[in-house]
Amino acid sequence: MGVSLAVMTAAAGAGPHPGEHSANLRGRRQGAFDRRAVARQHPIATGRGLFVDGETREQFRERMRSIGFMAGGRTRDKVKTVTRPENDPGVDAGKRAKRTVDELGTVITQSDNRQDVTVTPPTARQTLSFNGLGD
Amino acid sequence: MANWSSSGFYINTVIAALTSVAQTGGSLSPLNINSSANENLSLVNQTATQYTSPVAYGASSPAWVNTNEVTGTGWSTGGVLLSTAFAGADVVPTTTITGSGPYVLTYSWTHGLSVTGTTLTGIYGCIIYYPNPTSPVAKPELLALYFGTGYNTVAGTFGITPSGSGLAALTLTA
Repeated sequence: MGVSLAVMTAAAGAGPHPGEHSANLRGRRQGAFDRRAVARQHPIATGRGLFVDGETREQFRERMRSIGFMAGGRTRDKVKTVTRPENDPGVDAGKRAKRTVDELGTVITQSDNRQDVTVTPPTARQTLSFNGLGD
Repeated sequence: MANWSSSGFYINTVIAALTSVAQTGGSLSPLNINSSANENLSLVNQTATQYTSPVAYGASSPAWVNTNEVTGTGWSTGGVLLSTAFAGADVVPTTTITGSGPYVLTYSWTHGLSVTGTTLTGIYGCIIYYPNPTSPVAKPELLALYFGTGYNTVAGTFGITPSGSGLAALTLTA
């Protein structure tokens, strides 16, 4: 019983303001959670944001940029390097070609803008009779 | 008659080759099954009718026509010359005889056909024929291969790779 009372007391400070809608209360609580999460990852919070001995302001800014933080806001380096396979000019960079083999052994390679097909046809089989063959 | 559904040699062309029938037109006389420099491969769509031109295997004058032909980007009417169909090089046809009664004549290629930069729709088979002769049969057909289903290419490579048992096998019996 004493435990229940303590919980109610602790929650009272974060409770709804007079007349506040419950949805707004959930929003405030989520916002506080987000702010704490960001703070835990911030360079200052992790210690990476402090000047090291002999570090100039420019060096500090460069180091912050390298870990994704820089003055004036937070940015991320979005440059992504993709390698186009040699001898496969039709396959879009960064996308894998879909390769299938059908029941005839035919290979079909397909990407968004290209489709190759190599057919292995069943062997045509016929019989031809000659009079006197083998005489 | 249903659409075509089987492969086969054009028997009268085979007999003309075996019996050295003189040809008019072009530089090949008599016909030679392995003469890729004198053989084209054209593509056929779904609407060809079994045992009817251009897939009439038993016709006495099996002349190639562009009926039911598949053409498109990178593949014009009449098809490609076999001596340049392996990415610009020769597919190198082979004809072998195996067995000891019955004998089996097997036709195949050393290299598969490979043509780049094609956009083709509804390929159900192909015809190998001689494009140059004018008489006794104009553009005599040698072999038709039915693929079993339809294939498409989009700005890509169209290829034909012979199976381990070859493109065609003709059993010769007395």
